[in-house]
Amino acid sequence: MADTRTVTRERTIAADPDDVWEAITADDGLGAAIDPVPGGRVDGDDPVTGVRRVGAVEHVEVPRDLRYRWWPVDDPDQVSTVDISLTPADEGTTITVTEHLVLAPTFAPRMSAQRPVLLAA
Amino acid sequence: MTVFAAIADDNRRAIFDLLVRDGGGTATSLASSIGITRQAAAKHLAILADAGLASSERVGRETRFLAVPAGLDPLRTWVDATAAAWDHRLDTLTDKLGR
Repeated sequence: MADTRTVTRERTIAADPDDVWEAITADDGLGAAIDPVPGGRVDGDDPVTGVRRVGAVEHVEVPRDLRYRWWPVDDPDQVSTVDISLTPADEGTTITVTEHLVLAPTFAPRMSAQRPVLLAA
Repeated sequence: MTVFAAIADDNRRAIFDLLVRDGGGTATSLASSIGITRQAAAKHLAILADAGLASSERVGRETRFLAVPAGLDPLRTWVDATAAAWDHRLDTLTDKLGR
């Protein structure tokens, strides 16, 4: 079943995980300033729409996993979580990004269990 | 209110789903279905209508509400926009790291 609230992207980059981590966290490599500590600020413009998003880091595991929660600065209802994981690969590092739209804390389980309407893409 | 905020409320979600399932409803019928007051149901219906998720029509003395499934389109465009943004960001990161 298609999921209308989750996007996943995977890319293998010819650099080791430490360098990829450094590029993401110290060098705004994903187009956002990210302070890689729990509670650290995330701030960046969408590269396609230009919409500015702000948020906070939730989980850090150097140089493997970074999770944060962010939202468009002018639409705080549109909260999503971003999970970025780095895995060593033969040719470098595989980066997997999953962004998930959060509607409300109690909403997600009900929707997937009983509410097919939103999930029919 | 945006569609994201409108459907973030459990009662509004329940009302929207009942409108879809039953082909419509009134504040009175929806209130009794989900166990809230008529006034609360009317307020939720107004918010759903404002967010483009419901429309209303007058039937005799009652206002009947209908679901507008196309109102959910922002959720679908969210996926496309988010995927495009990540493709772009990963391209930038790949360029930055020299490959």
